[in-house]
Amino acid sequence: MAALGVARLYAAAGHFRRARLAAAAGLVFLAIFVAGLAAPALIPSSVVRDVKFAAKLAPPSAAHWFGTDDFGRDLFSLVLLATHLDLRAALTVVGAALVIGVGLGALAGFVKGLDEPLMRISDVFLSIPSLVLAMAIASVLGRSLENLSLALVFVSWPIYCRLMRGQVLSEKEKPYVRALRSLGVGRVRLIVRHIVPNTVFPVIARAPADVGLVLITLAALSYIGFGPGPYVPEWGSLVAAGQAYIFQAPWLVLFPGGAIFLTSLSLNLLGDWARDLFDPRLRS
Amino acid sequence: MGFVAYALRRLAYLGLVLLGVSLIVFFLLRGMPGVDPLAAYIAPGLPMSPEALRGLRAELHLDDPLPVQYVYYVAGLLRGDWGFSRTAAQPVLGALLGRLPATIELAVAAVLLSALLGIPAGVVAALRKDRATDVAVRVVSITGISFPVFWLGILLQLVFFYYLQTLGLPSLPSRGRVGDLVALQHPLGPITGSYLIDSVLRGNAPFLASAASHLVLPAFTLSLISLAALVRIMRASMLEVLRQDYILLARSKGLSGRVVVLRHALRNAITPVLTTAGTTLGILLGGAVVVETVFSWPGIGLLAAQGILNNDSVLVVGFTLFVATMMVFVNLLVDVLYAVVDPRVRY
Amino acid sequence: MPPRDPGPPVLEVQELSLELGIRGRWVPALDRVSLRIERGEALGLVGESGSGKSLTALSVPGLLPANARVTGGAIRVMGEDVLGRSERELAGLRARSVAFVFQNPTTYLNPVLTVGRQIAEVFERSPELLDPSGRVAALSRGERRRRARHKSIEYLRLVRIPDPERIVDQYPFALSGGMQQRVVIAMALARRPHLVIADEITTALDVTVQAQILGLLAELRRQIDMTLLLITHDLGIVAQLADRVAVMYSGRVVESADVRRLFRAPRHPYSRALLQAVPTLHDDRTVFRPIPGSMPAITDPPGGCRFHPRCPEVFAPCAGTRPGLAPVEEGHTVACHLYGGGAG
Repeated sequence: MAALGVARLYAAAGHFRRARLAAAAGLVFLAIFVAGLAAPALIPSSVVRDVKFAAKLAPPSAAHWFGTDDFGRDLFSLVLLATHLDLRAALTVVGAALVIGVGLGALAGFVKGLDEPLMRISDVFLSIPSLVLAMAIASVLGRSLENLSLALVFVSWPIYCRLMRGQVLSEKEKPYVRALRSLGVGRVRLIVRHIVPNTVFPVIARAPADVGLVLITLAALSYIGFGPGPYVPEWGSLVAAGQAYIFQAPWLVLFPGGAIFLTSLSLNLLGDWARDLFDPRLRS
Repeated sequence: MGFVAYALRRLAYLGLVLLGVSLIVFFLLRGMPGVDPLAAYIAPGLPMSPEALRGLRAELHLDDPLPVQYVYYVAGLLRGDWGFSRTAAQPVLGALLGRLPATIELAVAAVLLSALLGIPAGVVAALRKDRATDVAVRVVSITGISFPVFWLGILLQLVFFYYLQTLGLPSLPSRGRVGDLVALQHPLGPITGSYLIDSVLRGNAPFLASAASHLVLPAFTLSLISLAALVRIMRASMLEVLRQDYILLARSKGLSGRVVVLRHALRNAITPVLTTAGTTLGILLGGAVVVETVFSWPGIGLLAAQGILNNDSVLVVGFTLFVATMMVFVNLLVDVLYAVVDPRVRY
Repeated sequence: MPPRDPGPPVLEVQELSLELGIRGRWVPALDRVSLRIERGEALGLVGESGSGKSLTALSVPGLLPANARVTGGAIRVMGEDVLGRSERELAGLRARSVAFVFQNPTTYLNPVLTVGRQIAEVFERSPELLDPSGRVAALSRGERRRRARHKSIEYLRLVRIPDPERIVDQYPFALSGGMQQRVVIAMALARRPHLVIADEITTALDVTVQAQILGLLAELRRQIDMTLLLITHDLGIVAQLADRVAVMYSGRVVESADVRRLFRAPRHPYSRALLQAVPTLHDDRTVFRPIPGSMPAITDPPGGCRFHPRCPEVFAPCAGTRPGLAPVEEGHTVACHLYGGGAG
């Protein structure tokens, strides 16, 4: 019994350490997010067509913080604009996948008849690696960021569906639910006011990490060639474009790639902390 | 119940999953609203005569209702007719099978690397929880998960290929499976399709050296994804197991720490790792597309990427089905392995 | 009872004090606990949950949890000091001297290893158990394994498991709770230990199974002259199996006596209240007399005698001075000011 107390002590201490780390990560992500939000306002989109061959492949300097690319464009502006695009896409994808997945998962948990078919369908989707399925869908639909995002939504919803369904099923069996039913509480009220709030948060806690994952997948796909072309700045295609000059101008690859890494890292740290928060074993 | 019954049950279930995948794939090819199924077969800039188009339509049964088309499609799949790829100038299945050994060699190398590094790292991190080693391991693993694979590949190329060369040091190759010169001077007659194994079998030392050095960077890049995840899972699982009562009993028998960890703890802790083996393979196959592109590794991933650039939907969709089938069989294997390790599952 | 062999007491715990780390503070959990078990004897260590009996037991083979630290006293097994030994030496002690049987057999058996394997491990660790003449090194691995398996079956038979040749290859989840507990007992006996410590071994079992296990233990005691430290909160078990009893309350031993003496004439008010609280078939009472209040939390113990807030016979010195264990007749000690406890 006492040993359990100390175990909780360790967990809580770890929690605080991680919370500080998560707070730092949160600040970093917030900074990136704000930058992305403000980007279209701060940077005219004409920058993308601002070709100045004279200034091409210049290293980082006071004038150009990240240097310039092979068209002489300011890399910092490009990366910032790409932040806007990529973040918006990733957040939309995960948001949509969450809504669809949680909704279907809850349905599967409550309506007996829908459980089996929904699970089989999500099994099928889960058996194809996300990148591959996204590739297939996007290749049929055509190469654009919107289609990529759509494809990624298709790829991401099954996990949330499964998780939500599992949570709902186990929550339904809990004694308090039966107690409430026997007191005459209506089903809808039960679902909305009791079951959903107790089950949905651990599922949502996965979202930050998934945003990071979607970001990387998006960038990877546009790196391979799905990207929206040289006039729409996107992290992955920036890296792809920069790869040709990797030796002369490594900053072309370092800065966009670094942006992806930093965003993804801060999101993963946040996600870890969020998941720990909702881990039932650590709750007192 | 027994082993065999269990295996058969899993096989039946996975067969159903494959059926579902074929439905999705078929829908992508023929049933997408607003997309002309013929578009994939027509190379841009190479118009086809109306008769040729009609002939193609008839061959693909495009005028029949969708369910009928599906039946023809599945029949074709089972026959081995997965369509014709413009990019490879070959039938899709043949093109994929031909390049499969390269991808397998890469994937196996990556899996071995991540298992050899990841499992001990996770175990050690759990045993030294919250001390320096543990923290280091956790930092490395969360960094690993956040690292975009293609960026890692490029960075590794930058360091180990470009910079080492400028410093005049021997460098690791960054493209292809084997040096072009070596392949010409010391050609290898293939046996298994794996360059490493075959060159050993044939005693072709220069080929072996070249192939091995070409494998290093791509395998390491690909292994990063699964390595990071593996370490985390292994550590978490080990921590969970070490808390169990039967570990205390094992200690109370006077067994040495090593025996307790290896025989009692590890066997129980490794099962979650196995469960994720299926998803890990999926992630690896997805990652292979990217890694093969970065390093120009001639596997199925590179072919698929080229297909995308070429608008060759038949190839890309065929690739999807191929990968799904591979995953299904690997999942079956994992389930069987699981039953071997954990006897409770068989009943 | 037959005369005991002379020799060092199998277990001697002297003034053992121990602290637990709870929520960042060190809290005393055991306060100068003393016990003694002679060879062939069975000592029952009785007390409520939280009285410290499990902690006392766990400290003997050095299996205390990470947040426990010993702050004083000594433990001697067969005359040899145990405290302060290295983990390796303790492992040796556990392998041959002190066998611990735990409470819930289901969670204490490794689910992925067969029953036989888990018993045979003991022989792997101590191969000399396989061959008394000591020529074990000469045996091949295959031969050793065969003998280990054979011995495992023997011990399964010893604990009255039916059809041991079949059970030896089973996995723990295939066995009932009672059978699992027998297996754990077999694992303990296979080491031929000097001391067997049984910690609440029947608490997790049905009453009928409990009776079987107790019967088994009684038989085994007779058959192989087992020395036993029996931890329990159930006085009935003590009455059935123990020769001597020590009663613990809130980290201290409050009374220690021969079992019949204790049951006939308990001296310490706590022991008396315990015995009175247990209903018997011959009782005509219609009113049960539980002990009012509850055991103090170890984070906030009362001063002086720990039992004094609940004691029906509390008087002047109780709140101030802790009573020491004083003999009240031969072989019977009590820690209570009523019997001249003095300062303890």
